[in-house]
Amino acid sequence: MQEWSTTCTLWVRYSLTCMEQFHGSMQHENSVTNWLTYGKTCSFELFYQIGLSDFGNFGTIKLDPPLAIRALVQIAADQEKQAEGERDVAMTNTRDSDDSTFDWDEAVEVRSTMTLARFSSACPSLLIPTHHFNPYMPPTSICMHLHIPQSSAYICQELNLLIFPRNFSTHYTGHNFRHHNQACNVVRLL
Amino acid sequence: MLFDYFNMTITEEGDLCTLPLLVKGYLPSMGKLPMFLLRLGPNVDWTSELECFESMLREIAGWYVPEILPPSSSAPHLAASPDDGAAGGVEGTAAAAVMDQALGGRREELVNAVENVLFPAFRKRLVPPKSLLNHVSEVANLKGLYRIFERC
Repeated sequence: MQEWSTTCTLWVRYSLTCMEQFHGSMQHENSVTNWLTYGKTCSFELFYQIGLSDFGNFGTIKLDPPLAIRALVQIAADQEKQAEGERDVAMTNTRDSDDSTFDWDEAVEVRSTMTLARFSSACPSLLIPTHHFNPYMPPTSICMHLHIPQSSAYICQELNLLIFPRNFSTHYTGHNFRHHNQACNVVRLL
Repeated sequence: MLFDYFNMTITEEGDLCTLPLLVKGYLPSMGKLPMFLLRLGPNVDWTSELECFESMLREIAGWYVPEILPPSSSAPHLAASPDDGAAGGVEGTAAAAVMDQALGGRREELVNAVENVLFPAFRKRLVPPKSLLNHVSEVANLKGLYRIFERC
């Protein structure tokens, strides 16, 4: 098994059928043993190792035209919601009553907010939740991630984002008291 | 950090311009890109440097794993059903043809990439860890086969 971890040869035979089931054959050099391996796991490991060895020296995929991050995250969030909806239907009979109160849609929204927050250093406007409060627009100069220390952001992740709503409210209220009434609505909603 | 280490460029308008390329000759699935981005928020540990790089590389690796394409829509069960209305049937067939063409192109690209790019990369670069042993199953062992054939 020691040799296994150091050298292996993969057969360069990969039919379309294999492709769809995502299996690949592998032949060990010395003991001439054939293995059936799951391509997904194998290629994950390959790309992870390439990432480690070429770290900092990756090539570049240029996107032309550039893709809007907000739109991409929204697509992924919709996919997640759809998948969760299907899972809910499938598990209706087996799920505990406590689980049924969990709001998957909200969880997905939280995840997309976290992702956008991470990219906000390059583009602060990513953090503006335009779909929630259309009449009131917070200034883009206030970047929300600046108000969240890294450690708190981690706690957010662990504790289901207790801090994010507070920062949202600060984001909306802290800079300009002319919008007091709207800000109160924001806080009430959050 | 995203640009320095991972070649990810984001414009001030919030557009993604560049992405990391790990292997020349293989383009990861753009269909998996939205999910890759969504996972970067909660699944990457941004609190410590080492864990951040490690989890980011894992996410990139997960994105690079070749996608499993649906079977070709030339199969009868995916073609437009004859019960559809005439217009719907024509539209459905046209849409299926376009989809089939796009999928066919990607399938061909993927097969070429797996054979000519990924397998040579497996041979050259992969150092299989012991954990990979959980994901393989033995098909045949030459020593064992000799033992059986000797009896014949």
